[in-house]
Parts: sequence; structure tokens; C-alpha cells
Amino acid sequence: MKTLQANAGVLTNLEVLEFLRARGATSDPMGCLGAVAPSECKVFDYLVNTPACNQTRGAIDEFLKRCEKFKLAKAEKFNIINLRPTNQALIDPIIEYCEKRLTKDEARGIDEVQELVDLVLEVLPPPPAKPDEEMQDLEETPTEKPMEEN
Amino acid sequence: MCPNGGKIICAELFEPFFAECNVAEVVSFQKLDRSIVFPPFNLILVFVRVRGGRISSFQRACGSRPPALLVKASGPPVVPPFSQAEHNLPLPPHLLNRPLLDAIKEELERLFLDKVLSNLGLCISIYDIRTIEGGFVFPGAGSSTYKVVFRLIMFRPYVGEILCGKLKASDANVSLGFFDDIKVPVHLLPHKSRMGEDGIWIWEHECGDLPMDLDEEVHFRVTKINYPPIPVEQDANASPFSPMEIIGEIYGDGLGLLSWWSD
Repeated sequence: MKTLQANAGVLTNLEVLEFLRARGATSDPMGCLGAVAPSECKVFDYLVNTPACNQTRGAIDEFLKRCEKFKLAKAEKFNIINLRPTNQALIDPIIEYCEKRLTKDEARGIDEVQELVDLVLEVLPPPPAKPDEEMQDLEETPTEKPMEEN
Repeated sequence: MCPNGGKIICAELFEPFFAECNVAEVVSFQKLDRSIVFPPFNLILVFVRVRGGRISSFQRACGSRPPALLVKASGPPVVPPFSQAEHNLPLPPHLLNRPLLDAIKEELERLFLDKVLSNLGLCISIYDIRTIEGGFVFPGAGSSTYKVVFRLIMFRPYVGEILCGKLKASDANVSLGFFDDIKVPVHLLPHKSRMGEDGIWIWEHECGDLPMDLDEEVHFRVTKINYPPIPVEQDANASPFSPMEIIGEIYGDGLGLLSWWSD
């Protein structure tokens, strides 16, 4: 095999997820036997548990447009889209030399890191709640009244 | 070099372009002798490190007229990049009664899917087939050979990328579900970690001991990707050979268990 181009383009997690979904992958392990290979199924399971599972292209485009002012590298933008960090501590390792590039001046009320975090929280949709959290919610809500028998 | 010579002059000239293109530092300068630019221009190759880790190069013509900037883009790979490849694929005879595209796709999947290609990463999927040529039958063979150009989706994180995985074994192995060979060596665990009695690593933090329980989600930074060569001999009890190994680190703010940093 001859490699023509080792790096012909990059894909976000969402794009890979959509590609696998279009091929027929589902979360149900038995359902996707014919359409996709087991290894692709494992990749699909991993991606479904990341924030990419309910992102939309529109949200990503809006995020890319609005984060222009922070002058992030392409790789950093992709990493933020794939990871969806929810606070400053989680964004810090993604951006190289974060303290020097994003100004934080409490005297003048500028905190670009917090602005970026707020942008992420606002534009990129949150991942759905995990199943065990949903179960706890169900237990707390009152159960429906049983059907009255005539 | 520029008419005045000297690195400092050149650095100043490049500064506005560096800011636009997210350059972290200048690695080196080199004057190209085999230049396609005619005098009074000189062509200089500047190696820079772009944020994200890869070394990319700027070529700039320096001279008396307003200079032109040729930027050779080579962005760092992010999970997961495309790779475009060409392969001479022999199609075995038992697939000849199938539609050509399906047969070729199946053969490509058999060859590449879930396999590690050296320096390219783990092949996740065949994205598309661009061209198919050939179909010759070589003497002595029963299969027809096609030259296929296709694109593969690869899993190849770049050095410095932050990934999220689950802690697997007690000696700090992280797993992504589809990829398990991610090791976090002891010196890249948070400062002041120790191994507890039950084999679980514990981070001794001023707020108290924080155990790194198994099956917890961790954020780690990729520090290196190794593609060890296939060993000729192996001991009977050696761990299974892994063709692609990622070395990760959880040393730093925001890395490690997600529960340590969430609100």
C-alpha cells in the first residue's frame, strides 16, 4: 500500500459519529451486526458517550464563528468541540500558554477564559444525563396513580 | 537571508504573519539554494512550531519589493484524520460475482479495518473509494488486480491533545473502549501519588487523599505515540504485543479524574 496523503483532512467526533450512523451503527450491539464491523461498533459506543452525541453542525459552525476573537489554533478548537470543557480548570490544559494568550484582568473586569467557558456552555449542547442519574430522578418523582378498576 | 542578514531582522518581518497563523516559536531558518524565485528575491524557509505540536514551514520571498508569503499548510492531526492511500488490491475469485464496489470495499475492510498502520494510526473505517483502475489478471494468478485510491478514517491523536478515557488496570492504564493501549507511567501521574493497599493509585492532595478508582473517566494529555516494531521472538508470559502505544500524562491542572475538577 502506498500512502498518498497521510493527513488529507480532519474530522470532529460528530462527523465520525454521523458517518457511522449513516452506515447503520446503533447503540444496540445486536442490531448493527450486518451493517458495520464489531470494531466500528466499539468506536460508535465510545463516541456516543462523548459530548458529540447530540451536537449539531449548526452549533459547531456557530461556535467556530464566535470563538474567532480568542485566536485559538485549529487543533485547540477541535479539542474543545470534542471535549466540551465546562469550567476553567478543564479548558486550561487544552490551550497552550493559556495565561499569556487569554487575558485575565480582574481590575478591568476582563476574563477571557471565563468568556470562552461561557461560550462553550451556551453554544455546544450538554451531553444527555447518564442512565444511572436518570434512574435516580425516576425514583424521586412520585409514581403515577394506578388505573382505577371499574 | 534578507539583504541585511541577521536573524533579528527576519523575525521582525515575520511577526505579523506569525500572530495570524498561531505560531508558538521559531525553530530555525534555512536559505534555499534551489529556489524558483528569481533575484532580487531570496527564498527563505522558516521552520516554526505551530500551536498543536507539528512543525510547519513558512516560505517567504525577501527582497526589495513587498514580499509574498507562501504558507505551506500542514495542520496537526486531530482525532481522527483522513489518510488517502493507494493500494494494488488483488480481488480473490470468490468475490467476482459481487458488484465491484462492494467486493472491493469488503477486501479493503478485511485488509485495513481495525489494523494499525505504522505512523498513520489505527484504521477505524473506510471513508470512501475515490478511483478504481485496472482489473488486469496477471499470469499464474486467479484473481484480478485493481489499483484503488481510497480514504481511511484513522485514529491518530496529536501530541498535546486531551482525550477522555476510563481508568482500567491498577497500574494506570486508560481505555477508550475501542483502544486500550494507553499507558500513564508513574512519573506522569499527579505530583505526590502513591499506590494504596488495594492496588489503587491515590493522589495526596492538600484537601485530602483522592483515590483513582477504576472505571472512572479521566482526562489525559497525549505525550507520545509509539509504534514498536513487531518482535521476532516473544516470551510465553510476555504481555500481548501492541503495535500502537499511547503514553499519556495526568500531571497538570484539569487533568485526571473528571470528578476532581467538575463543579
